[in-house]
Amino acid sequence: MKIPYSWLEEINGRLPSPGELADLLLSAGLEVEETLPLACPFSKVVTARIIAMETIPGDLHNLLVRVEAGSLGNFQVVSGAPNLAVGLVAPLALPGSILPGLVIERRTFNGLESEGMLCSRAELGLEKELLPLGEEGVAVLPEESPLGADLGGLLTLPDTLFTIKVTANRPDWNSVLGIAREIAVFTGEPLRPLLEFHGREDPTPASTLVAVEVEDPLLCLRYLATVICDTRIQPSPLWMAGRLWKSGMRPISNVVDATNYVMLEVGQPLHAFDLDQVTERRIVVRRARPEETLVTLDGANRTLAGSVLLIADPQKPLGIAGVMGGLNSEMTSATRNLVLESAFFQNASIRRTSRLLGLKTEASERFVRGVSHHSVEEGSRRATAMLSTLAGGRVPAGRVDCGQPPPPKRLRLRPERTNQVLATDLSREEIYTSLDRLGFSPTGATVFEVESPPWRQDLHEEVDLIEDIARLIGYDRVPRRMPAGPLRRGQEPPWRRKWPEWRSFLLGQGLTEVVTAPLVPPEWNTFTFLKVDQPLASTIDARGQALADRPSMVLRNPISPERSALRLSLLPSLLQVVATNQHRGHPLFGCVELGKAYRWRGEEELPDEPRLLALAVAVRTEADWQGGIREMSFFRLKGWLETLFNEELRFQTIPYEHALHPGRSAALFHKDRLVGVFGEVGPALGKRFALKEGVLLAEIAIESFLAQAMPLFQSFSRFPAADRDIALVVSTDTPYSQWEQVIREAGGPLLEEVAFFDRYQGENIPPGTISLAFSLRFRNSERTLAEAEINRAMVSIECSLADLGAVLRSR
Amino acid sequence: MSKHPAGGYLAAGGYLAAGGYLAAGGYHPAGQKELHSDWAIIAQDQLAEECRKTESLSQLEELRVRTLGKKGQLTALLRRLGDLPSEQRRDAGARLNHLKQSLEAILAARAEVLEEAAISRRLLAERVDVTLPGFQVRVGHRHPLCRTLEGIEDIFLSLGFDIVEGPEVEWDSNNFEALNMPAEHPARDMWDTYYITERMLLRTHTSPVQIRTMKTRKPPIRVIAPGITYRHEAIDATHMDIFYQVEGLVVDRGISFANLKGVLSLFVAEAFGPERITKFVPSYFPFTEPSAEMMVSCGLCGGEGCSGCGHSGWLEIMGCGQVHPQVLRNCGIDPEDFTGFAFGMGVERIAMLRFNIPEIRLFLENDSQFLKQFP
Repeated sequence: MKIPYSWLEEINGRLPSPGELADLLLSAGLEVEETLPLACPFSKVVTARIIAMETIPGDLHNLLVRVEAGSLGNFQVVSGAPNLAVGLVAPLALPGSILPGLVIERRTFNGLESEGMLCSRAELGLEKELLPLGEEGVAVLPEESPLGADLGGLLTLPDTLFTIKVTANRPDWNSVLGIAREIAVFTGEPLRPLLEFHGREDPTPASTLVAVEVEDPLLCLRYLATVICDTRIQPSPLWMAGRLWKSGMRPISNVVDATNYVMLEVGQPLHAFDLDQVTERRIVVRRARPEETLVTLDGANRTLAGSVLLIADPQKPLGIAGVMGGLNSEMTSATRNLVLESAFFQNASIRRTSRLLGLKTEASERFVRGVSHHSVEEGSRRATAMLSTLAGGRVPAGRVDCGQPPPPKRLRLRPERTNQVLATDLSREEIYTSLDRLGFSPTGATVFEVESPPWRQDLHEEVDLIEDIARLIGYDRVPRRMPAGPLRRGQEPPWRRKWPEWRSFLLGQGLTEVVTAPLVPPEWNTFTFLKVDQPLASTIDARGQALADRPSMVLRNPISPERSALRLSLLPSLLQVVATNQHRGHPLFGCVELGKAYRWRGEEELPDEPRLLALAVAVRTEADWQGGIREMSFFRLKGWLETLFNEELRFQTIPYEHALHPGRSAALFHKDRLVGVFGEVGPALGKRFALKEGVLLAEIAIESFLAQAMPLFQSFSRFPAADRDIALVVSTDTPYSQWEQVIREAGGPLLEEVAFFDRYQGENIPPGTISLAFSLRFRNSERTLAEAEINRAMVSIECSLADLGAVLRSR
Repeated sequence: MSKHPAGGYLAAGGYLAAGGYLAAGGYHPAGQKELHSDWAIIAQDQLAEECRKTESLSQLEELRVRTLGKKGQLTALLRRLGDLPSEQRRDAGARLNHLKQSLEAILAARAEVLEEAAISRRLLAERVDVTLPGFQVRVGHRHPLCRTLEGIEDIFLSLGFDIVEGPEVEWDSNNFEALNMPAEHPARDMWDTYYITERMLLRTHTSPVQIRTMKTRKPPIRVIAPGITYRHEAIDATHMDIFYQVEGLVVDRGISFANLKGVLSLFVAEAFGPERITKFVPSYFPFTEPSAEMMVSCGLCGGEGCSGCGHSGWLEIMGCGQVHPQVLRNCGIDPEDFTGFAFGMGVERIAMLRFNIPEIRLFLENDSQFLKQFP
């Protein structure tokens, strides 16, 4: 909220400088977001009333104007403003006055002396909101303004404006009085009385002029109505307009301004409406009926729900309680008699209504945060008196009051508990003094009994008092101390221990770590990626469940469609990163992310959030200046995965529709779980992201690879090994893995290693076949290998291969 | 003694023959020594000279073969030793072997010289232009956010905090109710929320992990809960609807506000450096009381006030406070017996301060020009 320093000064009396005050407020828990000096854009400008005007012979444009400026005397000025009229009160810049870009001097026009200048709003450098009248000529000031008064003084300029952030627990701080009260607690200086207004009283009891009936006392805890009769609507005085304007409100008319002013001052939202529009002069506070409608002050026709609390008369709704009044009872220039409502609506109800209607107003925001019986009474009292003073009305005696304030809340405070929680050694006396300064009226011998001040709605238990004491003595008084406890390093989840190893490997291969948003366009969830981290049965066998879950989780209230769904896979996010960088002309070689996917499990269960490792890398061949070649390919990526997850992995072609290249992609199995998918981006996906080069993708559920087994020593053979090569010609229809498996099985215990080193197709190899070459290493763990042993193993391998149709090329 | 013509080594043999040194029966005990000495010296000199003339190891090898090889002159002489009377044979044999060793040494010395020369020539030929570029290994980069997050986690791990986790899609009850914010509580407006269903939402802070932890663990509790949080908030240079937080929670007997100040000040010294000082000012969170905002002296101006810190000299780093007794009760912990403190910090904000990053949007954009600045 915005608060002028001068307003606080009026209530607090002596104040520290604005900068020091901001520090004080901060230490009290009031964050000052901005301290803005407000300069006075002019000097030596006073209020003056036009008392006479005469034409100037030979001058069709200007008039000779006589003005009176109170004790300063009368002046004559030459002016060409179009809105000059006798009786008009306007700003007069005296000789020596400095306006923005202009210095006023005594001048002579056609032999006539002009002793200053009547100014327009723009010439004064003020905003239109502050002085809305007289835009076409000299600024029109309120008729009742004192004459000869310094305009800067009337507007209290220069000034300093604080923008203060008020925490949700202290609605009483949403007012000048509330802040002033808090300042007084800290400075110890008593508050000055508020500016008092005294209206004209009328012996007629208010209760004979208006009746109030509260049907739902749970939603309306208090309703105070006062009546002001025979009002005259006119502009507010300058001092008030200035304050409202500084506080961010537009001055409108005395009645509206008075309610706004009191709202700023004591924090109570008030609503004035035309009493003559209230049928039977009877106000009913009730819930809306189904499908009931009301045109609110903003002109919107609103359909209301049963949860909405209404201010109504026996025939029609007059306003939405605590949110906005109805157009039908709006104050107009014809309004003579008005009723002023000061109420305490339940904050939850107003919050629900405000959200339901999508309508937040200054009033609703304040009701949501909470008002008090104290502010209801103060607001009613002050606004009624002010209205009667400013709008010249009569105030019928008394008020109509529905609802009872509860007795003040009583709380207990144990001094030793205070010192325990704060780790301080405050004496009983110091705690007593603090409670007293905070306005709690402490009593009691060992345990303090305190009474909550009527404006405090936030005190519920002992700790609330402890916090207030801590605020008052200052958080700096609390020492810094480490907690006692065993010395040990904390424990971390297994994935966090493993991830840095995997990441350093991948970063070493040139991939860059990225972090992408889990909120994605819903379209991204329609790309068919394998749903990894599933038991085999639910993926490969049952096609329906194998694809990504659909529909995906969509937000009820997204800020944009691009961020409205929770992702099912990280791969589209990574493709977007690759694509963005490509399009910006600095392509990324590759990226990797460890992140989550989100899978709906129904309304009764929170979604599954598996942690996935995903990577994207450009298919690229790069040569160095010496002719060395480095190629990023399907098999290099496969090699990375094999190196990283050095486990029993099984790779299998994906047998159904998938966003990856059908011939260059594979599902990755660990034991009987589908744990990953990898391969080249398919053409449709490539087009969708407008990729300029091929991209390889992989996504792996890491859960299966987190077991951290302590390695145990295994004895190894110190006898020499013997190597043999073998090459076979096989049909291209049989997968490589079959042949390797045959060799391993037939090789027996002596076969230590099978290394695949050549794959050849072409000359000397019949079409439809392919040559595969392996290097086999044999070793005996107990003795040096005998030639005969190796030969036996080789024969066994060759026979098994030949049995399955392989033709041996050489040995 | 005249020098022999070219190929004089042969001549050495010839000389020997001529000198009759080994001539059968031509051996004179007297003067024999002088004769031999002279002859051996001449043979050595001659070999040394021949050696000097060789220019390659192969030439030297040729020379060695001619002299000491199977068919070499000296070998021939050694073979003829058998012709000598046995009383002379031993002496002559010893002398010849001595000579052989000398000759071998001469050859070896030359070989060493030639080898060195050959190596020098090879090295010269193999030299490279060291200013040509090397083949750098392309190494990726760590994301500055992950780096910051892990740095924060490591500090707390070393202080004995366990890392715990909670789901990002949460129940309203854990995100709000159990944290002392029943339905329609005004403080809920402090967190603009993304909803999935009426009861299911994207957690607006990591604080629900406090609830999950207190419901599953018994005090003493000392944990941090890092992770992604969400706000239904318009995105601009300093606001993001998705961001990382690190939550902290300590519950034990006798935990005081002083412990909060102690632990968090230590954290700041570790994370930002010991010269940075902290200040705690009152604040409000429904789930802590007393609540505080921790501020750290600005690293750019050292607390003098600059544009980086809004001319206050201080930077807001995190919200914190003593766990509200009602929150403890909600989790079945008796607040008279146990007390605690909790804190929550935004990781992006800390990364922005640490790396002087001006815009929060940069983190999730992943522009390589941005990422490559952080090794």
